[in-house]
Amino acid sequence: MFSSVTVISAVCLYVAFLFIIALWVEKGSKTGRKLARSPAVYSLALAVYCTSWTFYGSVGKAASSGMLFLTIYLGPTMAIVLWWFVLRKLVRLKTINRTTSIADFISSRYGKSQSLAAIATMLALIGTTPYIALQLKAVNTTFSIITGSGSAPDSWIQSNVGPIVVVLMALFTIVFGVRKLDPTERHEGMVTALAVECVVKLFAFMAAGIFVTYFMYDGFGDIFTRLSASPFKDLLKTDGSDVRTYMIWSTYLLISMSAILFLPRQFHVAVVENSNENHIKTAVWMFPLYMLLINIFVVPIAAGGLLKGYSVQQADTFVLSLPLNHGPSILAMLVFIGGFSAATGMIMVSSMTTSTMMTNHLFLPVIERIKVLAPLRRHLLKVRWFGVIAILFIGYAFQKLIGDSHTLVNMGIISFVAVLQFAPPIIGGLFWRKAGKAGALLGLSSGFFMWCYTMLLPSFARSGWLPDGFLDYGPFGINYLKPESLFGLTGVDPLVHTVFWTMFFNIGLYILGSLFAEKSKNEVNLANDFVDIMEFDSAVISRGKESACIKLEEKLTSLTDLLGQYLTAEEAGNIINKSLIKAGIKDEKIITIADLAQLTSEAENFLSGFIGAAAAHQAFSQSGLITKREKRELSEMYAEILADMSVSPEEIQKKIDYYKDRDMLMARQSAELERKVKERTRDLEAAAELGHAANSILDPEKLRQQVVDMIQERFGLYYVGLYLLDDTREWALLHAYSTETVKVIMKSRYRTKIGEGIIGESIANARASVADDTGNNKTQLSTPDLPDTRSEIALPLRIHDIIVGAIDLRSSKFNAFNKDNLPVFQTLTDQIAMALNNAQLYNTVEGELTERRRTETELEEAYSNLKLFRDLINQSHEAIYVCEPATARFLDVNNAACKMLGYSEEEFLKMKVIDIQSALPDSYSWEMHVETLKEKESSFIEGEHKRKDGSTLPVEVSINYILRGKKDYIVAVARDITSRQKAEKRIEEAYAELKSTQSQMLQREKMASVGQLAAGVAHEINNPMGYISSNLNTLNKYTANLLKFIEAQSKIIESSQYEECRREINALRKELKLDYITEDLEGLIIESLDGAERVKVIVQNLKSFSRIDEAECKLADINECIDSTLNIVWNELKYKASVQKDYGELPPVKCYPQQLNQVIMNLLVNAGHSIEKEGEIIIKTWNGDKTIKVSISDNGCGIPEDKIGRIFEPFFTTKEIGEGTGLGLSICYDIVKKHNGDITVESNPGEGTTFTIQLPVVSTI
Amino acid sequence: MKKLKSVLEHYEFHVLLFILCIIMFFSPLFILSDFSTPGPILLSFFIPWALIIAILYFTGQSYSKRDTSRHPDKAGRGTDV
Repeated sequence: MFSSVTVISAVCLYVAFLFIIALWVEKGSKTGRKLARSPAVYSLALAVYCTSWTFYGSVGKAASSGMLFLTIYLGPTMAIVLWWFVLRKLVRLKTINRTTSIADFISSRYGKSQSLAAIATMLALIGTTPYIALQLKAVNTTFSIITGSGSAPDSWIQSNVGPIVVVLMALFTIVFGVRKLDPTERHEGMVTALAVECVVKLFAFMAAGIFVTYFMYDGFGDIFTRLSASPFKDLLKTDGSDVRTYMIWSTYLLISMSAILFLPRQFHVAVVENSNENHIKTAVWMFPLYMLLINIFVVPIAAGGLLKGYSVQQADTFVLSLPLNHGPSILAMLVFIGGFSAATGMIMVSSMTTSTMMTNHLFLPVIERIKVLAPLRRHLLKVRWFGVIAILFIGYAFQKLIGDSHTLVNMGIISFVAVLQFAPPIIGGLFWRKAGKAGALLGLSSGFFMWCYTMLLPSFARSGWLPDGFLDYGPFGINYLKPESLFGLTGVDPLVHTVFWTMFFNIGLYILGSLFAEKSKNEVNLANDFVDIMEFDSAVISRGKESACIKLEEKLTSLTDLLGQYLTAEEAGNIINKSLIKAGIKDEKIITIADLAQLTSEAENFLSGFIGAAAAHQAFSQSGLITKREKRELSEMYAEILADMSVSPEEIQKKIDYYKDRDMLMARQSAELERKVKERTRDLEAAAELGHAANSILDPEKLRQQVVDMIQERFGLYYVGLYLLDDTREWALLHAYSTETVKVIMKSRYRTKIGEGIIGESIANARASVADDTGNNKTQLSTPDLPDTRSEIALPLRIHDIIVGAIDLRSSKFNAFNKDNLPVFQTLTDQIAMALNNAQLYNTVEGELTERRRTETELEEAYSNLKLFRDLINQSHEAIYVCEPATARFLDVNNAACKMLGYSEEEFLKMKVIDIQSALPDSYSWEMHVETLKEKESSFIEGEHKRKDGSTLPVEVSINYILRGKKDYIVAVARDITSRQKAEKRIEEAYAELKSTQSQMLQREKMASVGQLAAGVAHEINNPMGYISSNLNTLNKYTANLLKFIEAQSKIIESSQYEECRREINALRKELKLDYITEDLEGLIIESLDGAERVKVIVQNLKSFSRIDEAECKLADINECIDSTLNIVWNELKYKASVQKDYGELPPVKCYPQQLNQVIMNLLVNAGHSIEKEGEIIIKTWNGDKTIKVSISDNGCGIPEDKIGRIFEPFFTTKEIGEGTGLGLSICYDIVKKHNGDITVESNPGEGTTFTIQLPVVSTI
Repeated sequence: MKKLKSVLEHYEFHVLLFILCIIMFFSPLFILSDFSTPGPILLSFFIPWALIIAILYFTGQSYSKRDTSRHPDKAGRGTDV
């Protein structure tokens, strides 16, 4: 459910939308937009036929009477089959007769009868009232349903929805359709709005149908299956055996066939609003298609509602109530709007056209008769508005009083039968020549009466307005006159009964009245015009030139044939040509009857010159050049003219004689005038030619002389002189004169003072001065250089009201210059002045143009250069900035700058230089920078620019200060040096690497040299040491033997008796310390041997360390390598540290033993260096997982944490300069890595350092 | 095709079409009087109706763009009615 305000608002919005469309179309039609004139709009507008009756009533009818509802649309389809011949005729007649309504049409056909128009208007008004009531009822009912008020409205709006709707409808109708007074203008906006409404209602109905069919049920099949199984299974069934069925069916078809064209609104849309007959070609299929589409879902909706349990009485509103109760609210609103559209369209058009009829055919005749009402003539538009409101309120009253007792459909049927009464006079009027006014009056009146009696009054009776007895017993108890069984006709449906009797009386009296009543000539002519209307070319008619409708080409063909019978083709052509010119229709294609008469009259006059007047007249009379109809029209035209003049034949004759005499006098005068005019024309032509010729000369000097010569020649003058004012404007100088007359002119004539003489006077007074030489003239026209002067005129030369000079004309005739030819000379003078001005201007302009062309050429070149320069700048890979020194704002940048920093050109122009500069020092100042630039004019800096994404870009910038006139600029060229910096960095790194490699190579070379030296020294020492070892061994043996002998000798001496000898030997033994020597000798030899052995070992180790013969990769025992290296460096370590060895069982490792020895040596040496006084070095080896590990630990000073990460860097050292190269550990690192091993370090400052080397067991070096 | 188009332009064809409409729109009344199912009943009206519309469409297309006015002197062509 929706609130009343919501519904009213939705309605108002929808109508506003339609109004906007109508306004847009009407405004567009003035500018050539032809939307409203499209056949589709015309065809859709015809669907105004589908009103609320269709939208709601069809479902109601289907639910109660089955398929009978369909006749309302099948009937029109049948009628439309004949539309090409019926409707087209109506449209053509409408165009010619400017028909405004159906009543107007009927009246036009039957002698413009006011009474017939009045009866038709009454019938239309009364017939339309139930239909309007039907629409209002539908709107009220559906409004109640959608707002849920039902029969108990609970708001002011709901209680008064009826009057509110009426007021709104009246407003809409006036706004859309009755804004202007002349109803013959087509309401293109209203028609387009109608078409839109029809689309909306079709869409809404189909939406409701689709919802019911496919969302409430499962399609057509499901609905029909359920219907077949329900109590309503015979809903659509027809009883083909009952005659009543056929009668009712036929009746419905008949009344709908007439309604499609003769309902006032249908007539208005189909006939009055038709802009082109060809639109009917589209309407004949599009409109029936529309009706078919809008009826597809009628049965499913009716069946759907019944199956849902709704009663048949509610069927009129199934279309709305089913979506409202079972579907989305928006669909219900759409359906309501669709129903509203259906009602609005009908009400608008019907009330508009009915109001027009009422105004034209009821009200105006009354005004004409009642003088008191005469002032209302000026307020017809307001009268029409009042008519609209009255019609709507009558409709509302009908709905209130009678509507509740009828369903929607039945109310519509009443109107259908009413308009059926129009069918006989209209169809008869179109096709039956003998149809007359009397027949139409009788037929229409009787049909109207019978309709009232058999249909309208019973409706009133059922509503309680008339006593029931009226229906049951007839008026005054006359059974035979019972309204629903008239003249004893019983057993038929009331509708059939009404249609039968109305048509019986209508058609019957129409035919009888037409046949028996006398017809006036006018009626006969009208009848022929209406029946034969299709003989007129539609294009001619549609062009709207209703008075000019004769095709000249056809008449000329006939005329040529006629004249060709007496003359040659050339003579005939000449006569025709002259006749066309004389008739003034030379270039026309379509002519009026008067033009035709004139043409034939002129041609007859010319022909009479050849064959005589009588013969010519006879020939033309018999030629049929002017058809009977045309003659009649001509007669009528003349008769009208005479009638308007209100004169008697005698008076006409007097007037004719009077005008004949006057004509002769005027002919004489015109001949004289003609002569003078010719003369004047000749002069003017000459003046015009001169002026034209003068204007073609653009050289001022040449122009002046040419002008003077031409005037003299063309006008036969004695002398012509041209004077122009000087700069002081006090003198007029002679610039040109006719040299034919005088070769040498008097000097006094070269200039003349302003105000003196005839020339000076003409300039001073700004008007022509004329003088004739009568002998007494003080101007003394005759002069020595111009003795034959008899008359003279001086005319001022005027340019834009400024006198610039004068022309002096002299003639040798008296009175050569008079008021007759003065205008000619004045005109000539003005033209000459203009020509002089033009020539002067031309020279000025040409000079300026030349200068401009030169400037343009220079500009083009400059522009081209600028463009080239611009292109070059944009193609540069370097960023170029131009900025304003005063504000530091960017004035221009090139593409490279945009690309480099990521800003667009527009963004740059909003920025300042400082916005892109990065890492500026605090002391930076733009002004100081500019001042510096002004002094130096250029500078070169490296810095960074900020990109749009926040990143920085290293650039080197060349900045120049440029002064151009008063404007100064700073132009900066920035080059991205990222790649250069990267290259520099790479070079630095490469250099470092190179240095490292070089140092490593040097180290290796050194080591190689050391190795070589060691090997050499070892080799040289080895040999002597070999001798020493060998001799010491021999000495040891000798010493052992010698000591043995000495000991044996000592024993013998001790055992000897020779005490003296014993004492001397013992004293000598003591003196020589033989005992000590004996004891020490062995030790010495052993120590010497030991020393020699040590030297041997050292040499061996040295050789082993250098391994000069072992530079290849081979399996080596790491423990042995450590030992040999340890021996080498022991001398350096023994004073500072003790060495603890903890070797594990290691498998041989494939390696470069020399290089590994170098590593171990470096580590041992470093360990030694780290110990200041006394310490310990622990060497440990063990097996890992397919690796062997060697650790060398010391308890030295350790390595600080901030340096430990850099110790393997080349040239990094913690030692003083000169104490270490910083390459040792770097080389160790490289060597270990070369062995696919790893070297790590752990250190605690103050506690010591441990280096751990890990080598793979199977080296893949 | 031209012959068909020229036939379609004659008013007699339209009269014939009118008679056909009468037949098509009346015949379901007695043909389907024994039918109670809604489907065939509906189709019996809508299909002929659609057929008539189709014929009207082709008829509309076949009309010449300009109305050829019938000059009274051109005997034999006949007038509208």
